[in-house]
Amino acid sequence: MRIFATYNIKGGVGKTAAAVNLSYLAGHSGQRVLLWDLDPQGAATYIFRIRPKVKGGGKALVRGKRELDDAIKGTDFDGLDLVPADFTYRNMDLHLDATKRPTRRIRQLLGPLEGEYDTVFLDCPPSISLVSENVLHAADTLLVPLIPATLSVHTYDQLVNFVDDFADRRPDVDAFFSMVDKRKRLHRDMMAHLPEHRSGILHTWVPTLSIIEQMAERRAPVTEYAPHSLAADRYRELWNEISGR
Amino acid sequence: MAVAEQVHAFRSTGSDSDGGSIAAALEPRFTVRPESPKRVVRTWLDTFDWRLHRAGLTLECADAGDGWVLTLQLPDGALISCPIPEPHWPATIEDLPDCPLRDRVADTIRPRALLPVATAGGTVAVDRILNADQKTVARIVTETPDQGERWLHVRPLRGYGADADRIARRLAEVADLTPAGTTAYAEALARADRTPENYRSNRAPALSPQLPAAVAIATVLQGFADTMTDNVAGVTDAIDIEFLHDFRVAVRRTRSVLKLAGDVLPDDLADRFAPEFRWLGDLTTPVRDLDVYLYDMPRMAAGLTSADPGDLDPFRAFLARRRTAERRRLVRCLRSRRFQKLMEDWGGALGTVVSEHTVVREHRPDGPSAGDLDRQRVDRAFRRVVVHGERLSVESPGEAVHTLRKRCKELRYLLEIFAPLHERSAQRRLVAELKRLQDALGEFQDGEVQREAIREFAGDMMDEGHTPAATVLAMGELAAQLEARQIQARAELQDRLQPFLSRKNRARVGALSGAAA
Repeated sequence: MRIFATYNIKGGVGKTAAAVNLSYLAGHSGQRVLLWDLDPQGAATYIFRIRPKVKGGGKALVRGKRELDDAIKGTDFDGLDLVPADFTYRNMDLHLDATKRPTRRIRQLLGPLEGEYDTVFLDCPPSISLVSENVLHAADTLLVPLIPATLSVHTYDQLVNFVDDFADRRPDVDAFFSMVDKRKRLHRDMMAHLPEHRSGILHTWVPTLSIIEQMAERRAPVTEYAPHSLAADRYRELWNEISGR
Repeated sequence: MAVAEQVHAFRSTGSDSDGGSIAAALEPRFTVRPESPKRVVRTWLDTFDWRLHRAGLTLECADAGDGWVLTLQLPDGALISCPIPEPHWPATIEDLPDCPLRDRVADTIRPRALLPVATAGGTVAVDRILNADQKTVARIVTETPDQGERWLHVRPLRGYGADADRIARRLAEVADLTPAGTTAYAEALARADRTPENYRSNRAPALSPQLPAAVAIATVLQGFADTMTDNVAGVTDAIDIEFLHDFRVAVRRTRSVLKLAGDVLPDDLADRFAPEFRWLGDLTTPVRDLDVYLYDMPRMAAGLTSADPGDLDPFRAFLARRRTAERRRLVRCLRSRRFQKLMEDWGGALGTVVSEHTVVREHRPDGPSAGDLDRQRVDRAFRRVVVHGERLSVESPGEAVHTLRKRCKELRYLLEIFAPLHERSAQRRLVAELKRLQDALGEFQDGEVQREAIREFAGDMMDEGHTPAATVLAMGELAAQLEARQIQARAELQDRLQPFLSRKNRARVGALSGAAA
């Protein structure tokens, strides 16, 4: 079971769009995929038309009162299941803090699903918190959407440095340029030069496209409702790139 | 994907259960969103010896005109699917694309090939059942086969089992739908030529202790002859390596039974046919040995510490070439008049024994029975194992180990063919103890045989020329590994021998006939 986490300290950079489309593509390719929407805003849950409700809330999951298995919902798409968001996830830090190994709990919760899923995507809230630290420890690969702008690169460096300091296992950190607007000189320059100075930048980049924004309206992955679009092509390329690594 | 909830199935016995009546039954809580019906041809697959069936797995390949999809149903009802390129059956696990489904069945079927069991065509229509959020909570799959009645399945989505139950309850109220207790596969299987029930393995037939000994032995031999016949096509068509293995086991058992109990057969049958089965057995040895080397090669290569696994590639190619040549010889013999005549004459002779001696027994009830033969021959075979086992010490030559192994095999065959006459518990414990001893003997002797064979192959390869030095060195490392295993096996052998020779185990032989008396 390979665990990917779409993560960035900043919000609005295309984390959920990546998690939704990549998990759909992984399922479509025959893998058994689980997407866990850890963001209390529940955007991924909304897109898949699933009610943002987990019985007992985040507290019951974290404290082991309820198995993660019980919270899983099938999406409309073969091969793809989802653990929905719940508004109580906003208090997850508090619940995690009360456990014995507060930074390893999410990995522990995923353990029993090892034989059941081939790939897990964790869609994380944008923050530095105990939840995000859990995610960093749970993931095999951190997938970081990166808007080609100076501040984004700064937060990316912060993340890489933070992960480098882990004493035990460290996830791979793969960044991809997201919400790219090629009309902007800054975006073009950044994309041309950053890969020379930073390792772990993927070749595939995802442009800003209104068809991606329509996911919330159409409540489906763009790779499903517009499979021949540029956006779908890019997510497919991204999936091929990360799944082959 | 993983749908662990109960799948509800219905049969449609009329035309009332159309889309309109189903939608009406589900309103207002659910709405039905139909998808375009498709013409689907489904082929169910299993190995020749029904490994998937025995593991509670169902594997089908569906062609809906837009590509092929393999779907595996797990014992809990969960489904795993995998799109595949145009399939060609039979196919081994290596022929399937790398996907979770392949990983799930690999250990179950390897090294056997998947064969078509049954094929059924029909139309499949899928209705998505949506809740108030327009979220799919279940699918109703309607299958209209070319033959037979229409089927409806309610397939729940994970986490929506309660909705599926509710949908099923409402469907049960539709006039011409009745709950079904079978599956499309079970129906297709009922019309298939090959079924799990008519599979003939090397298992012992049902014998009774009163049966005339000649009839019992002939019946057992008929079973082995059937196994040979069933496996010939798989050998000649090179479907998978287990056909030859099963064929060979049947031949070996035939030879052992002729040797150990053939004297009860009339008309010198044992003496007449033994040379022919020896010919057949010898014929199969080279290919089977090469099959085993090639099958074990990845494992052996992975165990190399000094050489690189790739160094063995020329050795692998050499074995494959030799196997091709040996297989050609084997296939030629299995298609020869000599083999056909052997099987015809053998089948005819055994049939005569069974029919005539059953009659004779009715008039001459004083002849030996299967029970008498069992007691006498098992006891004798056990005593032989004990004699050879007691003589064995750590200093004994390899030949002595080989002899003990042969005696153990003979005892094992007798225990297996007379198993229906034995008290179960004593039989199970005795066989378990014997198996442990045989494993240690096998580990020792196979190591020796393989080591010698590797030396011989290396010599032949050098004679052929162009063999890289790295390959010969890697083969040397393999031989050294086998020797190390052999030394370890020799030490274990003495440990395994003692429990077998113990008084407690000897008493089990006496207890075997408890149920048969």
